[in-house]
Amino acid sequence: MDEIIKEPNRLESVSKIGAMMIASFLEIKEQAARGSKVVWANGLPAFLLARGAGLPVLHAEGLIAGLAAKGLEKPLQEAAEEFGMLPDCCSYARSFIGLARIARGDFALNPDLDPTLYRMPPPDLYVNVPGAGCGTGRLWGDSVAAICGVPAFHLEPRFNWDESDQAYNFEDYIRQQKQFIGLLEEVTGRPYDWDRLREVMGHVKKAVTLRQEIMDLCAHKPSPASFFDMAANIGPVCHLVGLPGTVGLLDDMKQEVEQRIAQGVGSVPNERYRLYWDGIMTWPKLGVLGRKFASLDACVVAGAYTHLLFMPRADLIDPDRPLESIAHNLCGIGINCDFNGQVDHIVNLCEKFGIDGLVMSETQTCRAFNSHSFAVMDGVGRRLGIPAVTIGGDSCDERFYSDAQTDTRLQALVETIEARRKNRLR
Amino acid sequence: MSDKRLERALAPFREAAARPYDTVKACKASGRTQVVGCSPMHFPEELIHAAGMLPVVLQETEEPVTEGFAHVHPFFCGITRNAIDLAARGGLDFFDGLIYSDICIQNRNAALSLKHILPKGVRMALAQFPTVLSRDGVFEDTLRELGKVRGFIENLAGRRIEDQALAESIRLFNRNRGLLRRLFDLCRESPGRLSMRDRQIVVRAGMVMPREEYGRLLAGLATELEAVEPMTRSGQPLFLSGHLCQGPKLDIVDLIEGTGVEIVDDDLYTGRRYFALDAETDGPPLEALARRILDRTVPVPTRSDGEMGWAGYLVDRIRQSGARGAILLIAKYCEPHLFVYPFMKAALAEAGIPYLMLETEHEVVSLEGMRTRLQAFVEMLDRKAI
Amino acid sequence: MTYAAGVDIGSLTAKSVIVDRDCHVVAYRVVQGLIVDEAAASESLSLALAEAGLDRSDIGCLVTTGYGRSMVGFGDRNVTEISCHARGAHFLFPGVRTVMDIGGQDSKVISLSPDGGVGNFAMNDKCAAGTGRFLEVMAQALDLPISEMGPLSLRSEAPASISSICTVFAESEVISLKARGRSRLDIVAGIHEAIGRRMHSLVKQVGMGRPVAMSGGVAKNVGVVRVLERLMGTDILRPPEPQIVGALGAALFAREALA
Repeated sequence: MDEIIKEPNRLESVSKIGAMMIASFLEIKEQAARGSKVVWANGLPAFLLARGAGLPVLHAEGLIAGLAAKGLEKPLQEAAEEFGMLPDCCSYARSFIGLARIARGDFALNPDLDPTLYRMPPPDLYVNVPGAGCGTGRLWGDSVAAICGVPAFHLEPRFNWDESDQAYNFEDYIRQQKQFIGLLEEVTGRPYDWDRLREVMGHVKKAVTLRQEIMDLCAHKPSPASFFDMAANIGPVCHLVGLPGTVGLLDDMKQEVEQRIAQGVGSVPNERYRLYWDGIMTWPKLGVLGRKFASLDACVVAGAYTHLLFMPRADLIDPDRPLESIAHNLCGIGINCDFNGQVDHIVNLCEKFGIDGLVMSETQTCRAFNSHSFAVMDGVGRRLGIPAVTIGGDSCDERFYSDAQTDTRLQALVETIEARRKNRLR
Repeated sequence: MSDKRLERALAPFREAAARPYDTVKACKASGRTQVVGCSPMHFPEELIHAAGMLPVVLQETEEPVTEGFAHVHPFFCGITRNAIDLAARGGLDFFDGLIYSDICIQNRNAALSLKHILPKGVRMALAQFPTVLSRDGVFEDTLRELGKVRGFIENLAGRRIEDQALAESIRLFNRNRGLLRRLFDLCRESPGRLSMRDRQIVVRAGMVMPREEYGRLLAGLATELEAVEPMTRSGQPLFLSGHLCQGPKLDIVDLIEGTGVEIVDDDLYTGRRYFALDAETDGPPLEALARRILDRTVPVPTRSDGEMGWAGYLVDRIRQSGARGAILLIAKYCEPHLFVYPFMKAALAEAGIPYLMLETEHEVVSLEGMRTRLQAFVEMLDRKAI
Repeated sequence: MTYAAGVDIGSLTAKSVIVDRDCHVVAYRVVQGLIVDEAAASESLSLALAEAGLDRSDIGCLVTTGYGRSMVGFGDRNVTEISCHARGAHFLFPGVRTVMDIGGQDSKVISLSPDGGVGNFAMNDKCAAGTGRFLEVMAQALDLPISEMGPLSLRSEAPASISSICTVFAESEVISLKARGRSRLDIVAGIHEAIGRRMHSLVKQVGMGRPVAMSGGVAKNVGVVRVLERLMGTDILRPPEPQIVGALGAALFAREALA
C-alpha cells in the first residue's frame, strides 16, 4: 500500500527563531568571554529578573529542545548517564546535567561532534523557576549547581491546593522574588535596575500578548498554524524575551497568520480533524510528527504545554508592577492547581478551538505534566464527548518513542472520530 | 526459653505489620477513634495524636496495581501507584482524613489523584513545609503551615488541640523513638539479635498502632533483646541504605539476609530515618515541631540543603557502623533519590566503600536477578577479604 | 580426583567445562534445549566427561553457575555468572578490564580490578532488548537464519533507526519498515545498532577499562561486535568459544578448591 506523506505548511516566521536562538547563545558566550557572570535558568521569571540585573541568562531548556529537534541531543544524555543518572529520570534534567558536565570539561565529547553546539559557559548562579511548579526542577538545579560549584536559588511557587490558597501563595511568591533580587545585587555588586525590569516587562507584555493573539487566531477553520509552530515559538517568550527583534518577529508572525486566514490557507493541506496535544512536546520527533498529522489531514491546533504555560495571563501583566505580574502568571496557572482546575482549563481550550480528539503524549520521563492524563481524558470525554488516544514518547529522550505504535494509535483516533461523525449524522 | 519469649514479644508487631490497614480498621470499628493518614516525610504525627485521633503513616500494601492503571501511568513510583490503586478500589475509604506532604512532584500528584478519586467523606489536605531550607523566613513559614494543618485536624476532630495535650504527645513519641533507637543500637552491636526483617516490622507496626500500646510493647521487646547476649559475627557486615518513602518489600529484605550478610545499620525510612530526631519538650510545642521538621541532622533529598548532604552523611554513617560495604535500595522512579545517587556513588568511591545498587519495584519482579546480584556482591567482598 | 568441573546452566543452554590441575581445558560441551533442566545440565556434564575419557568420580570439585545454578542437585557449590565470567575472561585474556556478556536472555558488563577480581558490574535481565532473544525475534520477523544476521548487517551503508529499549517496539518497527520497502540490509544493520547501543549504555554505567573482551553466544555475531568496537572506540577480544566462558570460570573456581 502506498503511503501518502503530506508536508505541513510551517509558518515562515517560525523558521527564523532558530537563528535568533543561536545568535543569543553566541551572545552569552561573548559576554562570558568579556568577564560577565552567567546565570543558567529553567524558567521565564528568572529571565525577566536577571535581565533587570543586566546578567546574561541561558535558558538551557531552549538550547536542549533546539538540539533535540535536530536530532543532536544524545551527547547531553550520555554525559548525564556517565555521571550516574538513570534514563528513568526527567530527560530535561538529564540534559541540563549533561550540559553542566560538558561546560565544566568533565565529559569528553566525541571528537566528531561540533563542540560549539554543546559547550556553553558554566553558570555562576543557577536559578530554578519551575514554571509549572514541578519539584524535580529543584532536584536538577541542585545537581547542576553542585557540579558547577555555584549556588542555586529556587523560586518555587507554592501550590494552589484550592482557591483559598491563591492570596497567600501570591504574596509568598513576591517575597521570594524580592529575596532573589537581593541575591542578584550581591552577585553583580550593584543595585538592582528596576527601570530596566519595567522595560523588560513592557517587552514581555507585548510578546505574550502577540503570541496569545496568534494562538487565538487558530480558532479559525482551517487553523492557520499548529501546535508544532507554537512549540517552536516558545523562544520569543522565553529565552529571547526582551531582546531586540523579538517583538518584531511576533508582529510578522501575526501578519503571516492573518494573511493565511484571508487566503483560506491552513497549517495542514487538508484539515479534516482538529486535535489537542497533552504533555510536553516530543522534541526529537518534531518534524516526523508534523508530517504524520498532516498526512492524516489532522491539525494539532492546541496543547497544554504551549497554551497553558509561558505567561498565559498577558492581561494581568502591568509593566509598572513586575513582581505582581510574574506572580499572577505562576500561581494557580497550568498544573499549579488541582485536577478539576486543570480539566477546566483544558475543556475551555477544546471548546475554544473546536477540538475533535485528544492526543495524550505520555512524556515518559516526566511525572508532572501527565498526572492529570486520566482525569483529562475522562473529564473532557464526558463533558465534550470527544475521544482520546495515548502515544508513547518523551520530551528529549527519543528511546521512548516508537514510530509504528504511534502510527497505529493516531490512525485509530482518526477512525474513531470519523465513526462518531457518521453516528451523529444518522 | 528466651527465644519463645522473644517470639511472643514480636507477635503483635508482626500482626500489625502484616495487615496494617486491618489493624487500623479494627481500631476504628471498636469506636475508639477517628483515623487520619499522613504521607512521608517529616509529618508531625503528634498533632493528630494530640487531637485524640490515630495517626497512620500511609503504607505500601502488597497487591499489584490493577484498577489504579485507570488513573496513573506505570512509570510512576510504587508508593504513588499503590496509593492511587487503593483509592480506586475503595481501599482508603475508611480514613477520616488524609494529609499529604508536598515533598516531590509525584507525592503531590498522588494527593491530587486521591483528591479526585476519593469520596468526599475522606477529607484531604496538602501540607507544604519548606522544600528549600536556605530561604528567608523558613521557620515562620513552617510554623504558619503547622498552624494551618492544626486547624484542619481540629476541624476534623471537632475539638481544639491544647498545647498541654500536644506537649504530652511529643513526650510519648519521643519515648517511643528513644526505645526504637535502643533496639537498633542493640542490633548494631550484634545484628543477630533481631533480623532486619523483624526490625522493619517493628518500625512499620509503630506507624499504624495506637501509640500508647505500641510504646508498652516496645519497652517489653527492648527488655527481651537486652537479655540476648551478643553473638559472634558471621557473614559480611553491611549497611542498608535507601528507600526514602516506604520500606523495602520484606521479600527483598529476606533475600538480602538470605545471602548470609548481617545488616548492622541502615538509613531507611522504615528504619533509622523514622526515629532519628526528637522534638524538644520545653517551650511552645508547635515551635518544637517546627524545629524538628527543619532539623538538618539527617539530610533528605526531597528538600534542598544546598550541598547534596546525604552523600557525605551516608559515608559517615557507614564508617561509624563498622560495615564493610553498603546495599543501596532505590525505589524505581524515585527522583529525589536518583538525583543524589551519582553524588553518593562518587562519595562511596572516594571513601573506598564497596556498594551494590538494587532498584526495587512495587510489583516484586526479577527476584532471581536480585539474588544473583547480591550473591555476586558478596562473592566480591569475600574475595577482597582474602 | 585430579580434575575440576564447571557447569553453567542458562535458560536455553547448559555448558560444561573440565580442567585439570594445571588449569588446562580437557573437554567442554554445550547442550541446547527448549527448556534447560537438571537433565540437560547433567547431559552436558556427561558428554564432556565422555570426551575427556573421565567419569564423575574423577572430578574433585564441581561448581555450578548461571540462572539454574541452585536448581540442580549436583555440585559442591555455586558461584554467580558474574564472578565466573570475570574469572573465565581473565584466564583467557590476562589483564582484561571489561567483560561484556550477551547471552540468550540477559546481558551484563563486568569491570575487573587489576588483580582480575570483580570490581563492579551491571546487568540487564529484566527484558529481552539487546539479548540473543531479541536477535531471534528479529530474525524471524525478517525470515532470515540467525547466523546470517551479523554478516548481512556489515553490508549496509544506512542502518535503519530501530528502538533499543523494547523488543516489542522494535519488532513492530521492523515489520513497518519492511512494509514500507526499506531494504533488509538496512533493517538488519539497524537491529545490530540497537543491540550495540543498549550494550554501550550498560558499559557506561560501569565505566570502560581496556582491554575489553566479550563472552556469551552473541559474541559470535560479527555485526554486534563491529558496532560495539565503533561505539566504544576499542578492539574487542573474543575467545573462539565465547559461550563457555562462564563454565570455564566456574571450573577454575572449582580447581581452586581442590586439595
